[in-house]
Amino acid sequence: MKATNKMTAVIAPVIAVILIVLVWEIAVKAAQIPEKLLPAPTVIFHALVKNFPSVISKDLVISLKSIAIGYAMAVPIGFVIAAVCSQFKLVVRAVTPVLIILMVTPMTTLVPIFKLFWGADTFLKLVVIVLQMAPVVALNSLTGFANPPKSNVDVMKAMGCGMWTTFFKVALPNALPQVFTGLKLGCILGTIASMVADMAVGQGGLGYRIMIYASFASTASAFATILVAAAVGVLLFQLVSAVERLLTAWN
Amino acid sequence: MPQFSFLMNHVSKTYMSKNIKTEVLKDISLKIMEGEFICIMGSTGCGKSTLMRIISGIERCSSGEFYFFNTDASGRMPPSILSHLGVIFQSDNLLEWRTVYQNVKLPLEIFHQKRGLGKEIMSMLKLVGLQEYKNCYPKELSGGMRQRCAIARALVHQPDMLLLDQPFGALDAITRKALNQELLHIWRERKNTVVMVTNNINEALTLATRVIVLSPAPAEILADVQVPLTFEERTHDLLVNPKFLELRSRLDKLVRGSEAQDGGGTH
Repeated sequence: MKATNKMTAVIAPVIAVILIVLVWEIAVKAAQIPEKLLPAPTVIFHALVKNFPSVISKDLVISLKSIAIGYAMAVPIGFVIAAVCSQFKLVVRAVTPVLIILMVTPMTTLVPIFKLFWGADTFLKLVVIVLQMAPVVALNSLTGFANPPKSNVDVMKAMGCGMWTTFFKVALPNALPQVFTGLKLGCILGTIASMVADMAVGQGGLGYRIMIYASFASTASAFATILVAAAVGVLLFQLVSAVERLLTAWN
Repeated sequence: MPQFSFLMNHVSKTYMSKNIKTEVLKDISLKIMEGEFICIMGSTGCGKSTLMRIISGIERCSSGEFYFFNTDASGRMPPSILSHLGVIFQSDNLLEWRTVYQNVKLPLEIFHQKRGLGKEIMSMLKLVGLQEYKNCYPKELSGGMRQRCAIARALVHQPDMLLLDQPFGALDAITRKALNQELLHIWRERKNTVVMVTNNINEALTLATRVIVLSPAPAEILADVQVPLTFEERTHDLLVNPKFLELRSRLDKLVRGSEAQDGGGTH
């Protein structure tokens, strides 16, 4: 029973994707839509095979690098902010709305202003990615850290544990599901932020490549690059989900 | 000469909230000797749980003094004292993300008792019959098994004194009776001092060597009753034992008397 359920969980979405691609292919061919406007999936695939080794792969590396460095900076920053703030009720109340505002502000809107400070530098991309990721990591972790189960806190108090022992033994493990929600949202927002930052800053990257292809009316190649960008987001999300499953097996 | 484990002199507790003073405990003095099994009874909301929270170091008293094993513990209780105590709560309070084994391990981590760790944990799990379940998470266990795990956790660091706050209140009658019998055997084997809050007279008389009855809030000690029953009397046909029946009617009057007083609201 369980095995069949797992099979359906994999097979159903695969069939859905195949159907969408088929309909797309047939519709484009039947309606004779020009390739410059909407290329057929087969054309996009050809463009991908042709351009990936020489061009798109290089941009992929640039994008992955900035996302990875951004993630590596944003996660500890968001985490420490949440951990420290969560220990003081008043600070939790004060900081939460600020984090929400930061989270919903599209940080790429700051690029024109930041360009005044640093010029069009790759460093700018990192700033944008970190600013977009850190608040969502911090906010979700903070919600988790600030509400450890009272009964478990009593257990720690009865053993004379201080604030930080209680944090590491109770609040942190208890909040792991919320922390991972933040980490997963961080993957999505970070990927989006990096694409937009590429477009605004230039200097390579998948977002930059999409813009270049589109401006030369190489629509199929642009779509191929979008496909790669989407794959990056999905892969990062799945990677974090896998780590989550490993660490929150108790849940 | 028997030593006292615990001594409490004129302890009171008042809560301040929104400028309203609520007196919960009023001038409690209590001396508990080594190896005694004390049950604390009283009507709901009388402050028995608060008393337990103070004894187990979760809360501090407002005034008065108390001593554990000749050490002053009136202020913040040092870990050197707390490591001699084992606490079992009303709900099992297990850490959901730790397996049974890891939950039992917790006090050893906190009190840095790393020597012979694995062996000690396994012997505890064996004692409460959970050795087969050591890798299960709490949510996979029944209520009775969870509370058994909590008992193992409270005993693993070899405490001299066990503190139980209505430990089996949330369990069904059969499981409750079984766990009471287990507790009785553990106490007899390990010779700990035990203090337990309960609102069940049968339970108190099955287990305790002494029953303390508290008045409604602010709690004072109403009565201090010795229970002179032998271990054999407790484990066989206790419910028809005339000594038991006499004690029960006496305690029943005391506890009910305290409830009537509570209803009148005159204090």
